[in-house]
This record gives sequence, C-alpha cells and structure tokens, in this order.
Amino acid sequence: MSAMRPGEALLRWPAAAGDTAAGDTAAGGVSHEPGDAPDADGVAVLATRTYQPLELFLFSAAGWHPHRIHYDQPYTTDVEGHEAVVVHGPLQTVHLVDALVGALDVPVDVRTVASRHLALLTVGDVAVMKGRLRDASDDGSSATFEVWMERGDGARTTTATATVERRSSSPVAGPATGRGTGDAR
Amino acid sequence: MADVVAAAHEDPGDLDRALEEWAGSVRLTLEHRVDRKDIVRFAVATGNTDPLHHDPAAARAAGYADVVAPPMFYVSLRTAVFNLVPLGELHPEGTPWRDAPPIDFTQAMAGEAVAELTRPFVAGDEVWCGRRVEGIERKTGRSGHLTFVRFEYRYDDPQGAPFAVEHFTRIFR
Repeated sequence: MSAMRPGEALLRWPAAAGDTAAGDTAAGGVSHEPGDAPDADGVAVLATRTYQPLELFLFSAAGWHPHRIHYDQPYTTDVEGHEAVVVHGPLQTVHLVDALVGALDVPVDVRTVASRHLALLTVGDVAVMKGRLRDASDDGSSATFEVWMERGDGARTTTATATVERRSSSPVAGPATGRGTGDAR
Repeated sequence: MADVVAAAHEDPGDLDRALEEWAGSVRLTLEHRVDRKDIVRFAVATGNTDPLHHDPAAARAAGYADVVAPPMFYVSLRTAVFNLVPLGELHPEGTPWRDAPPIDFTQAMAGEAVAELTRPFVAGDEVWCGRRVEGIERKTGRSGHLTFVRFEYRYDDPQGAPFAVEHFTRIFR
C-alpha cells in the first residue's frame, strides 16, 4: 500500500466526464485503512468505526426512534434473535455520506442519496466505509460516488450512491428573519 | 386490529381493501419547526463536529441564518415527527401501530431509500412534513410472506418549496 500525506484528500474531484484517474490520487496501492491511497480500482477506505451502544442510543433519542432493536439488548436477542443491538440503517447511510464529503478535496453539496441495507450490522462489529467515483457530469460540476459499509466478515451492510455538486457560491440562507431558537443545548 | 388481520388472510380481496384503508389512514402532513437543539443533537449523535452544525456564530459567518443541519438530517425528521404518538400507540417492537400495515409480521426492516436534497435545513425553519403510501407489494418467498410498503416523505416550507423528498421502503416479514 502507499500512504498519503497528512491532510491529503482521499478522493480527488473529477475534472469532467471521462476523468478516469479521478479519485485515484496515487493509484496502484491496496487500500486497507483511512490514509491509504485508493487501490487500482479507485476504491478508497474512507473511515472505520466500531459502533457502541451509546451512539445508537443517542441516534435513537435525537430522532425519537423507538424501535427496540437499536437499544434494548434482551429484546433484540431473546425476541428478534439477533446477536446484539442493531446499528440503524439510516445511521450507516449518514456516516457513509459524511465520510464521502469529508474525503473529497473540494466542498460539495449533496443532491441525491440512494441507499440499500443488505445485511445486519451490530454493535462491536468493525465497520469499514469505502467509496469510489462512478461518473461525473460533462462540465465537472457534479459527480456520483458509490459508497458502502463492510463488516468484519466482508459482507456489505449498507450501500449508497450519492450525487454531489461542487460548491461554487454562498450557501442558501435560512429564514430571512435570521431568527434562532435561542435554546441551544 | 387482530380482526382485520384474521379476515385479511381469509380473503385476498379483504386484504387489499384493508391495505388500501390503512394507506389512507397514514397519509399525514404535520408541521415542525426545526430548532437549534434538533440540529445540535443530530450532529452530536452522528459524530459530526463541524462548527456549522453547533455554533450559531460560525454558521452566520458562513452565510446561514443559524446553525445548519448536516445533509442527512432529514432522516431524523422522518422519525421525530411521525413517531411522536402516545405510548399506548406503540407496537411491542417499539414503532407506532399506525405505521404498520394490517398484516401479520414479526420483523420490520428498512429497505431502499432514495432522497433528493434541495437545500439544507437551518434552525428556525418551519417545515411541513408530509407522508403518503406510494405503493404496496406482496411477495412470497422461501421465508414466507414479504410485504414492501413504499412511502413518500416530503419536507417543504410553508410556501411549498422543498427541502427534501424521500422515497423509503419498509419491509415487513
């Protein structure tokens, strides 16, 4: 494998359609962990994570998500027959998209996300997030990436396709009044 | 509920009618004001440390009116808005009874989700959250009956301009 310099983006923005070298800043390596250059197929490891019960509880709480398989260990194992509490599919998608945005060498806005949950991921599993460029627009203003999460046995638990646009202007403002809630934390 | 299930399995026509009635009952539009805590809690829970999601001053310096939500924030609106029902209206597995079709099932799973994101949510935004059933498909495989329910979730401002639209399938087995 070939290591990348600290702070170097894992995935390079494509100049335009047909830029097959994009995402492949130092092709030819074998990508095993974040910081490795993408492999010969342009696949980069974007992040790794071992989910813990606390973050599953926080995600359930933040989104008022009462499905018990995400925080109730006895119910999950005794009633539903899973080995351990289950990582939310949407949480995996959130982390995949965040990892993609963080791995790119330009700021982007996420425009579409299509995801599928293929297998269970439970707390304690080592999850590896990977991604690669699929295609780019003719003018290089947008690109579509494939990202996916693998657990320790190599099975893909969640896959997603995200189309992102290179950010070139000021963000869209929130309410014109600029009012806030005044009650943060 | 149990009577509907029993009748549905005796006559496919009854099942179709029960599913159609249920689909009409889950069509809702609910108003929600995204506040700063919604965004900060989502950012904390997902491990996102970007100051734009936590610090109003940083967000304003970047051109936003207040803290701005991470791109995938809409997934928490889907649950936070539509799962807020009285405790007695929750299925034993934890999710609202009204969200489950009138069929026998032992597991509910997340299926494919396709989302179009038009603009980010910012603290203070008023959002009209709409949900409807786009389609129901029943399949029988080696593991038994599978029912695929495809929902559409829309998040619009009060003028009807979209923040996000999601097509989300739940699978009941």
